[in-house]
Amino acid sequence: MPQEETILRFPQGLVGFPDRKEFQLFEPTDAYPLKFIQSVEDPDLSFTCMDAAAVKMDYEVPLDESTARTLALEDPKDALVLLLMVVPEDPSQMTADLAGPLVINAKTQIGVQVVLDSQRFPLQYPVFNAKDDVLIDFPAGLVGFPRIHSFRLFEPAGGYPLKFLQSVEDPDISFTCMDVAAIRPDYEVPLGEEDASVLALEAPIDALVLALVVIPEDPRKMTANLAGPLVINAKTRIGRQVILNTEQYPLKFPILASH
Amino acid sequence: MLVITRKAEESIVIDGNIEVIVLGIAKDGVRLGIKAPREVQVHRREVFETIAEANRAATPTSAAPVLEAAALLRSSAPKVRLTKHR
Repeated sequence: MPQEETILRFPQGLVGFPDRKEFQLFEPTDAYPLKFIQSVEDPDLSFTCMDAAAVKMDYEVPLDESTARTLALEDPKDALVLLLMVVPEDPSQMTADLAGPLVINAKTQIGVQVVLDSQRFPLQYPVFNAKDDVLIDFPAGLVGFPRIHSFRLFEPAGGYPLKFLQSVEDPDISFTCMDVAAIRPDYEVPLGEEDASVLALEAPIDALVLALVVIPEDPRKMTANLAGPLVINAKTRIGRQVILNTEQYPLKFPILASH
Repeated sequence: MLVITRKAEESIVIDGNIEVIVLGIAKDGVRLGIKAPREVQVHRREVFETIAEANRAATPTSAAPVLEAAALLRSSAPKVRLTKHR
């Protein structure tokens, strides 16, 4: 991982700036999670960027062989992916460019700006889209908590991809959770008739599926409950905890071991 | 606790809209049928207890290293995938 003030080399420059090949990477702690890259050749030219995983956990850059060769990337784990950010006057409208990621070999500090299909990878991905506070109603409560129905779902500062689900009736009760897609992209909830009718989902895409997360003292051992997912109709903001067979869906799925 | 004796195919009604029917009595257990409004959740007790316990475990204590956990998750996210063709 580059430390503060690392020099990154882009042999092909950046798109639109073919002769700007060296950039200094700054990671000021007070600007976290934003980072900055500044051209060494032209200090007036600088860009705001962010770690791709801090924008979108399941973002993955498809890298062809020739680009991988330019980067001399032996292990995908050595890649650092930065997204260029547009920060307008109202910072809550900040967007990330998912179509032109900077992929850097963290070992050699050599980088390439990869150009992806902007149909699939938006040029202006709203960073705070999913980060707003929303109120969600669980008509039946959560299992073991039948009397609390109204919850605030929000992301604590710097807590992406974790979210908190906090009871409106009793703010002392809150749960840690995260989008199941970031844990197991292939996870699917078989919805029984009752669950489906309470949720009144019109299309699977309207469903937001969250797993409750247990964070022990050693956070590397955190687990997700895949047997009791929270399924939320994103349109109506009605949610329900669905109970699945614990033999098939683990109650304590080790999140970090899965990557 | 209210104790009621029922034979097979007899039932009880709870709160006017929930019916528990004894479908059959065998050596290894009693088969029950439950008719209830859709919003009423019915679970086997041990499954209910397990999920309830898991829910309680997901309520973080103030000492839970949430931000550290979030950073670990981000650093474990996929970054690039090598492909043959773009």
